[in-house]
Amino acid sequence: MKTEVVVIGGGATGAGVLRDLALRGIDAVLLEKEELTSGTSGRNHGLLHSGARYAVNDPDSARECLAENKILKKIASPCIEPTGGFFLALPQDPPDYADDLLRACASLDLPAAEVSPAEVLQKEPALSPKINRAIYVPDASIDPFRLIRANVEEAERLGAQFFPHRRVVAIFTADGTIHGLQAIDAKTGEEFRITCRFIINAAGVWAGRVARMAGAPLDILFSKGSLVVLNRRLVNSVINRCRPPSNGDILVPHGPALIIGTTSQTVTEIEDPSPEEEEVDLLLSEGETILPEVSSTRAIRAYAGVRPLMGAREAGEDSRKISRDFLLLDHGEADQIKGLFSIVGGKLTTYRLMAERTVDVIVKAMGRKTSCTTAEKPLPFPEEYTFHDLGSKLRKIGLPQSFQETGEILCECELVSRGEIVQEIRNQPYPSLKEIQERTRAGMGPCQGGFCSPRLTALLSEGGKIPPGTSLPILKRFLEERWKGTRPVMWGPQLREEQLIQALYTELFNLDHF
Amino acid sequence: MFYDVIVIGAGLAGLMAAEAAQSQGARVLVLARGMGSLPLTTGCIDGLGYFPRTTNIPLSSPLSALPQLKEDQPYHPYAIVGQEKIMLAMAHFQELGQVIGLPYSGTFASTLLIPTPLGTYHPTCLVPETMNQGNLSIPGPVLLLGFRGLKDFSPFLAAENLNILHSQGKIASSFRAEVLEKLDLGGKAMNGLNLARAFDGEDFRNAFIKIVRPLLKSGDRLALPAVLGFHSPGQVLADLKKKLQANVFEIPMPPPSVPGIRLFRKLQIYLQEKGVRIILGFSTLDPRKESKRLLGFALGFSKKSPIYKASAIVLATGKFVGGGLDSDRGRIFETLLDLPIKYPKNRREWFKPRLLAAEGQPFNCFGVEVNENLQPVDPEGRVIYSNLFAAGAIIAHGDSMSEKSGGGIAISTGYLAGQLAAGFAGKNKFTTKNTEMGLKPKDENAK
Repeated sequence: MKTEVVVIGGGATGAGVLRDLALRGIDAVLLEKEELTSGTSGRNHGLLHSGARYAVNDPDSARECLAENKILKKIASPCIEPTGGFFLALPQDPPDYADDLLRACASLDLPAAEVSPAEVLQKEPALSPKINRAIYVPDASIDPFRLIRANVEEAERLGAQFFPHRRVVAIFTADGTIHGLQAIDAKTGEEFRITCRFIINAAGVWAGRVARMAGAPLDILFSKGSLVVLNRRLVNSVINRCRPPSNGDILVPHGPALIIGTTSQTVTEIEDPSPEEEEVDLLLSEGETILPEVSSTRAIRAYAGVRPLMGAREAGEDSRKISRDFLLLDHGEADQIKGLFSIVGGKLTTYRLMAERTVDVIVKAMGRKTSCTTAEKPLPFPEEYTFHDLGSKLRKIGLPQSFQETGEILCECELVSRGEIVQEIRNQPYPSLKEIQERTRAGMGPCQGGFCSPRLTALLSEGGKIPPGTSLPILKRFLEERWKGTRPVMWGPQLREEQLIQALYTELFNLDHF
Repeated sequence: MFYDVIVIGAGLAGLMAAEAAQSQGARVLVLARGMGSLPLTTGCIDGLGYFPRTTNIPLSSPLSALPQLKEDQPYHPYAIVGQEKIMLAMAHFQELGQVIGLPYSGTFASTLLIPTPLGTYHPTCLVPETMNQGNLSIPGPVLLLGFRGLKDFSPFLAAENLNILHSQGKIASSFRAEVLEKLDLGGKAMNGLNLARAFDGEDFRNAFIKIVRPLLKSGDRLALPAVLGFHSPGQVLADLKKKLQANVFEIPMPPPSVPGIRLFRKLQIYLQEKGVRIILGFSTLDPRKESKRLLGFALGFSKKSPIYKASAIVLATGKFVGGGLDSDRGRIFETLLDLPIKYPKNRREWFKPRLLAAEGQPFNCFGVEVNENLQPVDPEGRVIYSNLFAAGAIIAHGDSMSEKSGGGIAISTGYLAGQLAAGFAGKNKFTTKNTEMGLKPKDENAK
């Protein structure tokens, strides 16, 4: 296979770069070792920053966030819920921080406005009545899965190619210039080569590994962040603690759920980050101080992502002090490997800007003159798509009489019908349980796929999308993955339901002995 | 209102305890928040499928493993009840099954492998007559029949996986699959409960037989998800068998389980006919006690709440699913009497890192500690209430999910607890072996 540019990494950055390249008419291929959003891009808050969180400590990041916040609200509105956000101070928070924040926002032209605690409580009655300062900012919640997929789908329509389950194993150079790479098809074990002049390393936490394949050193600091999902929305706005960034200081409403995050812990292990019980307890007790109902609301899942942070050497141990800004590295200049570029760090909010800067550099290296249009062109979304809420879902599926057309409801928690799932399975070459769930929301509710995943597995098998004899291992792998996220939040009603689910898989299916 | 015995909980253990006490002449009241957990079970009675539970080879006879089990796990409910009483209890349950019109075949002395909707097998002991032909050691072809729209049963997936087991020589039966496309349930939604109701009617069965007959080849057994009627499954089975000229059997399904509901209803009706009072569906029970004796329960906290008193109480409230146990972020507790529960302080240790861990899950073993009279005891081994007996899943130890022993434990502990409670009320010769004063603390070194 031959192309101009190979992008490595199917996260937000890689997807954004692919779209940008495609819009500029550059032949490109995106390789992802697992699936879209398998890495950090699928394991975050789903927060579209206004920039205010960074205004005091990291004004450059704040400025970028603010600009991108406006752009994304224009080009990706169907996957953004413009919730607005508040910075809220409690008596125990540093008293000067609110003023610092207002000053910093003013100097960035970031529209932050102080509102009275009474007004906030009227809008968000579940918040702690102890709030003494409140600042409104244009934060929003964003669906990273939809966003990233829309980028890739548009790029594909414009001629770019995307290959999931392709792990890059070697990068070839000749006379200090990139001329191709070798990858393995994780599904078949087949090796294949791509000839290209440019490689964009957008592999996130794995970027160091990719760079080293070309002989280029790239040091990244890894910071694990854990988050907890509650099954009730509790607030309609993004809630930030009005204090320097710390654990459990951001709460983001998402569809019917609320996400509390994050922790920040320097780690060396990047595969399979798992949330710990202690982190969950810390997040919930922080969440409770600002939103007392957190303690009586059901936590349905916890998850963790690893942030790739730059500036490891300068920052020492505390990863929060490191800029959440990104780094674009031309290995032609740095390591005499022409045609290799690494784009690392950054945030979901700034993914488009990172892509623009990266492609600008590539285009210059190619000696071409095309300019970026990603800030103006709206991303394409299916027409019927609106930001998820159960009400819209009910309107769509209607009453049980109409099930003949859609098929029966397979995920009772999130009201996903057989028709929707069959369609997803048909559309994908290698659909996985996780992918089907991200796309349809099946399995995202309180039981976390405990009851519907055998049904989904059966449809995968009936649809011929998994080889005979693999259904039980696939289901078991999914259940073990699910358990990592559900185990840390297992108490009360969640534990009760889990024992029923355990009974299903062990007392009925006897899957623990297969 | 005074009874000899009050049973709290209407799962299999509670109903067995009520029956055992009633058959000793005790006046019995059953109090339960809901239907109990039978509708959540397969309707089969598991004995002991795996021992040790980390092995993947099913035990050929639960009975033969009991001596070793008693040695390895002296606090296992089976070890506490003892072989003799387990066998009596199982035999009693089978007699009861005959009487209520739900005969169970099999024995505690041998394991049966039956198919599951995923195409795995499940080791069990006693099966209702509707599952008799599901025994996977019976050779020959089986037609697995699914229903379009019945979400928890894919005959194709089940057949594929069962045929893999067949080709590995692990089971004798072989399988092929068909799905019935459009079946008229009189406008009702397609689910197990509605199908079971439909199968109770002869007209529906005749229509069904007409569609299915051409699909069957000579020598086929016909397997269906467990939906063969609520009221008289034996009659439904016989009718299908006669008209299709084929052996027919049911495969247990995820909840709500028709065979579980059948067993619950038939036992409920039988007990009521025998004069047992059953009160289901209240939200709170307020225990009344004096020092070391339970007097009874008020149904609610108001002054007007009715109070039920009894000489002896059987606690058969189950674990977390049943509602006998509950938890918060750092604590496990018994919900009715706050009986002591032993559990690790660190929540992480309630669970294994893997969901389907071969050694089972610690949280499935939490419960109340009991002495050999099934009386809950404190950490020093002292009886907490002299007239309280525990039965079923609320008793600690033994991971019934992993070792496949839930039904057998429910029946044997329920039967024994019911007899002991009736004995305590002066209705029989079954007396508790030790008085609370004379009971020795349990050997703590054994843990």
